[in-house]
Amino acid sequence: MDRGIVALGAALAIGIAAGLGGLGIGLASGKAFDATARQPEIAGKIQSLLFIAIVFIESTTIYALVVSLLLMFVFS
Amino acid sequence: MLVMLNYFQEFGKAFLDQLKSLLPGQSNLTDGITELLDFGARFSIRIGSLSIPISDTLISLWIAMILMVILGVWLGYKPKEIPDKKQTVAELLIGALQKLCHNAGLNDKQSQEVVPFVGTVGIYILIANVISIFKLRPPAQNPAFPVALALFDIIYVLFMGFRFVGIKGFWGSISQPMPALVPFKLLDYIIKPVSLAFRLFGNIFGSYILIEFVSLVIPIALPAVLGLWFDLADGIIQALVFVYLTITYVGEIVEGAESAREIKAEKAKAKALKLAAKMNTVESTSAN
Repeated sequence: MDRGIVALGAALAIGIAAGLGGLGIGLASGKAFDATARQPEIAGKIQSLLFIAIVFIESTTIYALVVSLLLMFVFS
Repeated sequence: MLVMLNYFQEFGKAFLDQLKSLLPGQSNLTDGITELLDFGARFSIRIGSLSIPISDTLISLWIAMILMVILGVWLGYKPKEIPDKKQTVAELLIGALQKLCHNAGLNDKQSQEVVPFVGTVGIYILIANVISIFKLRPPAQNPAFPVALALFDIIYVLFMGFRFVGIKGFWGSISQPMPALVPFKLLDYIIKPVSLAFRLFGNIFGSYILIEFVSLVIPIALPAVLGLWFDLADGIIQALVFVYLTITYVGEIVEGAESAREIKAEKAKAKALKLAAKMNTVESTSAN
């Protein structure tokens, strides 16, 4: 297979996924900080919920990372 | 002073030479990377006609297991009435895990049953990830380890769910918003281990490749600084996430069963009230 096309595909995969994942984490943590500022007494619960949310958002980026690594090392 | 300057000059020269040798052809780099991707067996042990392949992953895992057993025996050796330093550490660990279980919606007895398995898995993954700071291969960069762990984990979650709430409760938890969604809820139990395995594998494999790549190109100072985050912090976070998700999955089943039971009880109550109201109206009309 053409090496250049594969490299482009891998770069696009991880680039788009990382950008959108960063956007998602930013939105989620921004809202969580808003909620903490409004109700500081439930900061612990918000933090743990934020932790779960960030893990799930991050895992989608990790899927893209796995795919792009596969593209780079297996198909080229 | 002069000696030091000379030393730096020579070092810089050698460094530039190495960079130059790497950059144009890149044959060196590609070879190094492909060598990293070799999951194959180093040697194999023969028992009769059976030959067991021994790979780097297996050796790292054995080291992790030995470390874990030593840690466990040391922490739990001769518990005392008045805890000393190491016993305090062990009790803190268990207390933190129990708090996690409580937050996920398990009660005291259930969290006492869940904590031993979850703690063992957590410490195992932690040691297996952090082992990479000793330049050993982290086991999770071979897909077999995370996949096996995730499969075992989801079987444990289902088993504990059945044990805590029974088959009726489990059915309640999966048919909770409406029974039409049952296939999707069942599909969830296939997606969960896949996502667990991919998360662990992707994180560790990615950081391992990155660290090795950096240490191929710039073999001084930078890999150590990067390793602090990618080997230590990332390994600890991944172990924590695995433990957290396992507890959350068990808690999900228990909470779902509870809320299903509550909804059922509420419905029964409403039905009884309606019936009573009907009886009342019937009585009043007949009295009239």
